[in-house]
Amino acid sequence: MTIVDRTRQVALTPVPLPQPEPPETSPADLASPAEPKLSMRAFSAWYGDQQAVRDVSLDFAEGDITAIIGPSGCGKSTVLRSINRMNDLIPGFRAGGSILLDGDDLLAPSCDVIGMRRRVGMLFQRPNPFPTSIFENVAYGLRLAGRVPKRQLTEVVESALERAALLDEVKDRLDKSALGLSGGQQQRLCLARALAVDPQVILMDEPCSALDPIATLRIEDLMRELRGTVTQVIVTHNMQQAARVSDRTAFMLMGEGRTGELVEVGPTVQVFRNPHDRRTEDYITGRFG
Amino acid sequence: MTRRLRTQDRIAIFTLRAMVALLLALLVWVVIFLAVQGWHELGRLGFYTSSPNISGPGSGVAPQLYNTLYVLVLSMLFTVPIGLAGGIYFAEYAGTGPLSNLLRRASETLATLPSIVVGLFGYALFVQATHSHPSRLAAALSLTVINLPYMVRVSEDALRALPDGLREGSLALGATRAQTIGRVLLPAAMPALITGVILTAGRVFGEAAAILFTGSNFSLTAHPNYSLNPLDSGDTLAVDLYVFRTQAEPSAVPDARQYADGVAALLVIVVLVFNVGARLLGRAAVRRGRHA
Repeated sequence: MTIVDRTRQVALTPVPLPQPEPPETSPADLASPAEPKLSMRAFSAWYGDQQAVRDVSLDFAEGDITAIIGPSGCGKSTVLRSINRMNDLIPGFRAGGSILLDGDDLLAPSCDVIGMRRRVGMLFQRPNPFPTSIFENVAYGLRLAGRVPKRQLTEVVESALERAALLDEVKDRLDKSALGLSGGQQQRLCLARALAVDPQVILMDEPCSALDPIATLRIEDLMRELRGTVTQVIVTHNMQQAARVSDRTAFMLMGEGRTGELVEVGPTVQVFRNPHDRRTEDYITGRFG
Repeated sequence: MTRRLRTQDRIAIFTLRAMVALLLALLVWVVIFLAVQGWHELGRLGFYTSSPNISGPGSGVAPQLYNTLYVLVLSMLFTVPIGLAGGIYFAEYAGTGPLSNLLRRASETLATLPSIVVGLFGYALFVQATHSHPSRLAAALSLTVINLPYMVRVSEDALRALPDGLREGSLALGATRAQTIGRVLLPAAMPALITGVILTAGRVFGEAAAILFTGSNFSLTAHPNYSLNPLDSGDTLAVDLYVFRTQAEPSAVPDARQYADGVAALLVIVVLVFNVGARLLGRAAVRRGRHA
């Protein structure tokens, strides 16, 4: 289950081409959307003296699913975790350029990080439910903002669980510990927890890497259901997953000085079928990685 | 070659086992020795109900037990909040810069101070400088000085042991760091914190040196003081043990040795109960967290 295993697996198995039918009504098919929901401009990042990401510019159209793929160390997680400023926690981390959410620069010192994170939810590599009840997990984000009437709380919690396709499995044990759920259920609970505060964007950092194939497919189903209402960005090592679920794909690679760079971005079908860059083609056909 | 390695391996395992066995044997020996020595006193009703009397036979531990518990609770009232705050600071805010490492080192140095030194310090600060007399409050404050670094360490470790996912999950939902600590991290660390608090309290129980100067009145007479006044003085069990083993006249108190043995046995039993209780409680809290 190490990173090495996964990249090797990618190299050994032929990558199935995505379905010939591109996702219907995908805004990604239009060239470059006039006003993207989220937009990175000349984004760079450093950990101490080591530059991790150089000059990445990426647009994320509203309601789209964008996959960021690339080998280990290419900076894709750094890019993702910079959007909701999670990397601020790492000592020595610095970022340059700008990340615009509805035109507001999230990297600006004036950015209200706490308020922004309520608009930009996140799903992590390992399911990370809090060691409290299922109900309290989903209610957490709402309670942070202040007192919420019990009735309204219950409504929001149930509808979030419903959106995460978990309600039927847990409605009889909302007061039981979230740690008693399976890994896949826990990850859907974390999705419900994020959805409960009604985010406009959800960032997913290899959300299925700790899940079995069935649980993985359920998460992907949910991603498709959220398409159109929530802007989703997913970092994944799994190229089949990127091909299955995303509207657009961005391919990153470690460049000079071990610094991650954006090689190519475009509609998923085009990137997988007809990549413009030789390096993209090499990677997705498994010639390296 | 493999044969030699296997022999080496066997020797290593044997040595480790022998060391552990020695450790265990020491503990069992001490406990059994004290229990046997104190057996007679532990079975005497007067031992629990009467007061210590340095000038005659038939002493009991009742007021000392009360004082010990009083000082313990009072000292934990200071130790837990301050120590927890320190632990939270080191685990969640301080990071690993040179300044915070210096602070951490300072806290750990404090833990290595001999308790007699802390006792003298407590006497100078809480008794002399305030122009007061030895009191339960002064004793409790001295014990706080001894136990604070321990409590800081326990709380820091409890928080650090939590998976980063909890922290990130909370922050990613728009929680502030304070909210994350108060609503997610502390509840999740509760089993470890409960265990730590009880173990820390257990250390208070056996402490004598720090109380000799700060809380004792050596008035081992028939006037037990069960007041709630923190400014009253009073001896604790460990002080009692020390006094009877060193000060009692054998002619006046023929059973001094026997009584001291009983106090020693009681102390060890209570400390053992604290330790075992801490583990059981901690485990129960974990179980409750899982099935809540």
